[in-house]
Amino acid sequence: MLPKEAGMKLLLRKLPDIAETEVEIRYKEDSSEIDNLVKAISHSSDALTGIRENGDTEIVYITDIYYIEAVDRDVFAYKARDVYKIKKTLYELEEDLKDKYFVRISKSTIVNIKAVKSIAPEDSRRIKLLLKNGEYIMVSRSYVNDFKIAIGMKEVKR
Amino acid sequence: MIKRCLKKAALLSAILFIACIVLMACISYAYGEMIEPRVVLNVFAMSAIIGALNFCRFMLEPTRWGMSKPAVVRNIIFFPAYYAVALVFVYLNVGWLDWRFFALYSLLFMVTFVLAQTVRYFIAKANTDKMNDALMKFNKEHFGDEQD
Repeated sequence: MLPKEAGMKLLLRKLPDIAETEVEIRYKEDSSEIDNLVKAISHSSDALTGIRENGDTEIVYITDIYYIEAVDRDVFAYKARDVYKIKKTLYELEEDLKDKYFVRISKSTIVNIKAVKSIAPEDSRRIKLLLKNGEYIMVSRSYVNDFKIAIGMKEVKR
Repeated sequence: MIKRCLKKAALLSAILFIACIVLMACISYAYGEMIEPRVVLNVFAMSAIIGALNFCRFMLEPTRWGMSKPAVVRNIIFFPAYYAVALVFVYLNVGWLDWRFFALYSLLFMVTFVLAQTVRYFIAKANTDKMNDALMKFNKEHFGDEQD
């Protein structure tokens, strides 16, 4: 339930024909209230708030993300075809997604194990991952062990 | 990406240039002969050409084609070029070449190189095959029928 003080109308409409649940927030101007609302919706469904190239904000379900990459100072989440900018650091995401089958594979990338189709060798003791959308991503030499641990091939050293 | 590849290639070329100069300085010290300025310029030119080759290699690596092929394929494409540059460098500095000897040596080098690369690839492949089995098992255990 939304707090009364928020001064918002809550409209719920049950539409059995739509493919997935949609949430549209209509607001006059940016405010912390709106930010909190977006965060609350994101947290309620194992999702992140993603910003598309055209500036539209969308809820990105974690299970749909193939990998997350930090490019310069921005962090991007890649789905099978779409890319979203995420307003969180890679470190924060790594912590948040640790228990959701995501693993760090390089200084700048976290991958969803569920999105990995197969593994192939590369030079310099690296490996490359073929994702289900046909894209390849590289696992750095220093993260190969972490990946092996994540897929249960190796035990965690204590 | 261009910037990153350029940086990486330039760094490797700088290391190669310094290593060659230090090696030549050691040889010069041991034999008591001076290094000619021409030789230093040749080393610089060789480092620059190898830098350009490295740049092309780094640019090719993340492309769809580059990623879909094993690293051994990229190595087999590029290493003859590195070898040719080194050969020209030797010819320019030594001044003569026994072409029959060098042809034989080049053939031996290529055969050994291709064999070594292939063996290395199959050893790495055996390791990733085990990882693929582990991944399949992991997916079955955690996601079951969700997998496509």
